Amino acid sequence: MTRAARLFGLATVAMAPLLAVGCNSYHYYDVKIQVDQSSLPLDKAGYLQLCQVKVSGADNDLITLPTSGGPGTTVAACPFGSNFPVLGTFEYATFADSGKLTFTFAGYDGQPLMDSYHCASGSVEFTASTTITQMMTLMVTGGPNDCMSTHQ
Amino acid sequence: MPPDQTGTLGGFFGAPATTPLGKAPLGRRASTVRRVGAPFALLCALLGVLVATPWSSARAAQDTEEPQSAKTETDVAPQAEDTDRPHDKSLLAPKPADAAVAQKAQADDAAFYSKWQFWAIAGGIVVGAVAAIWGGATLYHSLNGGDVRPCNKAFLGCYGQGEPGQ
Repeated sequence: MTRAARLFGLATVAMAPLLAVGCNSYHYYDVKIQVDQSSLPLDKAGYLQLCQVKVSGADNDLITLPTSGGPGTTVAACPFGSNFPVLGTFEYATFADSGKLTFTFAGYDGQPLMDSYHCASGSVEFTASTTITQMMTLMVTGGPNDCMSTHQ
Repeated sequence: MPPDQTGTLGGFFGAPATTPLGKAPLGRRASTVRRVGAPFALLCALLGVLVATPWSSARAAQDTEEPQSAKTETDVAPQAEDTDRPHDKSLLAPKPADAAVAQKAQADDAAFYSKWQFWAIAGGIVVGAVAAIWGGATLYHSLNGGDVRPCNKAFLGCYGQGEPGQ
């Protein structure tokens, strides 16, 4: 074996851990949450106390939308304020670049979180790809229960 | 044991004693050794007497040679006691080459850590190691996606990989 070949082999062995990690790149999914006023008017949506978004498919996560602005922001989200019918937009970063990525919204009119308090729902599905940023709108409708004030 | 009919020593149970190859009878071979062995032993004894005798010519001649240094001791004086100084004083004056040689010798005797080459190599190794560690960490971070992009202030929030709280 020549010296150059030996050096190349050593360098390959040294770089193996880095090569094993592989290359990752971020992909961003911007989700705009908007309320369907026909199924969830303001007099009902105003009872929402907590909003969660479950991420499933190519990645898995559970996001609790902030009640007084998210990390690094001062935007109020849930409960609604002046942001009706557009709750706002959040961004989700993932390395996933294939498969389906589903965001499922669930709004609750009381705590602790129980199925009986679940009164707003909706979902949107992205096709994960090498595209850096994708944006879609998640429409929120009323159900499966009626939003009411008795749970507060 | 009585001799057998052939005049040699008999073998076991009267069989003729022969060599392993079966050529010469052992009795004839023993007599041949006896004939040659006696003169050979006599010759060895004679040589031994010649070598052992002090006045023998076979001994090395007596070493009567005196050491040469004793003979030349008065002829050659040690260099330190050499009083034969050159008349030309410039020959005794130190030359630039002498100073250079002395300086070189002094430099060779200096400790390794007092040489600039040592610190140059050590510094190179340290800088190289730091650069390799920093470069490796940066490369590793880049291969893992690097830094996530800053969150838009107008968003409700940013979540997922690389985001705070994940």
